[in-house]
Amino acid sequence: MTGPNRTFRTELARVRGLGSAKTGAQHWWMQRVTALALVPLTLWFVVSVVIHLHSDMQVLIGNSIGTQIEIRDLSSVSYVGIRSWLGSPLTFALMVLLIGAMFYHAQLGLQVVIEDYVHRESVKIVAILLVKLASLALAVCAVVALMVIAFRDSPQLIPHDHPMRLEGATTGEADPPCCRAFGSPILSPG
Amino acid sequence: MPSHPRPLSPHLQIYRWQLTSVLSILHRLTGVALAVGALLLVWWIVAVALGPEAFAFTQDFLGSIFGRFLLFAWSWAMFYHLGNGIRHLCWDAGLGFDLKAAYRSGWIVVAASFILTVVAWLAGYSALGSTL
Repeated sequence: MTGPNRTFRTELARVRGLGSAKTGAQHWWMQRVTALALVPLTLWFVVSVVIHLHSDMQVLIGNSIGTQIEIRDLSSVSYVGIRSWLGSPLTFALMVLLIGAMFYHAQLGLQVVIEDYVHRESVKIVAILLVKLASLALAVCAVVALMVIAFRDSPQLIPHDHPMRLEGATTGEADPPCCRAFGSPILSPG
Repeated sequence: MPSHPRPLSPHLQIYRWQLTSVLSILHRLTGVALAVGALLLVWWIVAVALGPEAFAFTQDFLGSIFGRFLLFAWSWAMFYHLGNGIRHLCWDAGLGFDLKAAYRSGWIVVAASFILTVVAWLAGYSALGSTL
């Protein structure tokens, strides 16, 4: 190399282009990648929630013909319907992607906000670490819950004369009759 | 230290409000709000996993006046952040950088955020088939 070297930077560091923080443009780039992923994912979520509400309410209206039932708000959304919707393979996959992209994007964004407004180094680092750890924990929490929904049989979906239920009956632990109704909790006290 | 303290910039109290800076601030605010709203989504998913009782409790909360207010505010924040995020992605691609285009896209994002929010809620309420 000829001429005065005006920088202490090695050629390799310059070529790598990762800067002093060793991550280069990764933060900026991943924020854009997750943003792009979130465009279709969030639109899918909103549209499919509305579509699910429509199909769910059609079932409800169909069931309530000839009865006095006129409850139609968010609390009349069927648990079994939501559970089978969230547990279907397509919804499960898209929800996991949504949760992953959302929390990745959120922690990148919150990191920048903290870096901009918190100037005490110790508080700043602790806040950023907390945001990152909480985001990861919440994302894992949501994914585990989605796996439970997708892979574990809901008690409500097991017919009450199913062997699994009748096993309990022989040991005198049958669900009280009030709890056998479709869609109601079977968890009896004790 | 300078002997004469210089005026600091930006002086938010003195600046005249402009659409571009307001939308930039809103992008950050809605981003933070949506991060908080993500807690609600996780809570809802966990409630479904826990069972009908937890789910009913969550649905009752979401269906209350306060719950619906939160959902409405978050849905607007989501549509705004989504629209303005697409505006940012266009800038990243080098599109629409001149002042006139920035103002036009800004107003489009504002209008789209309100229109999409209202459309989504009308679609939801038409499913419930009930009055507010």
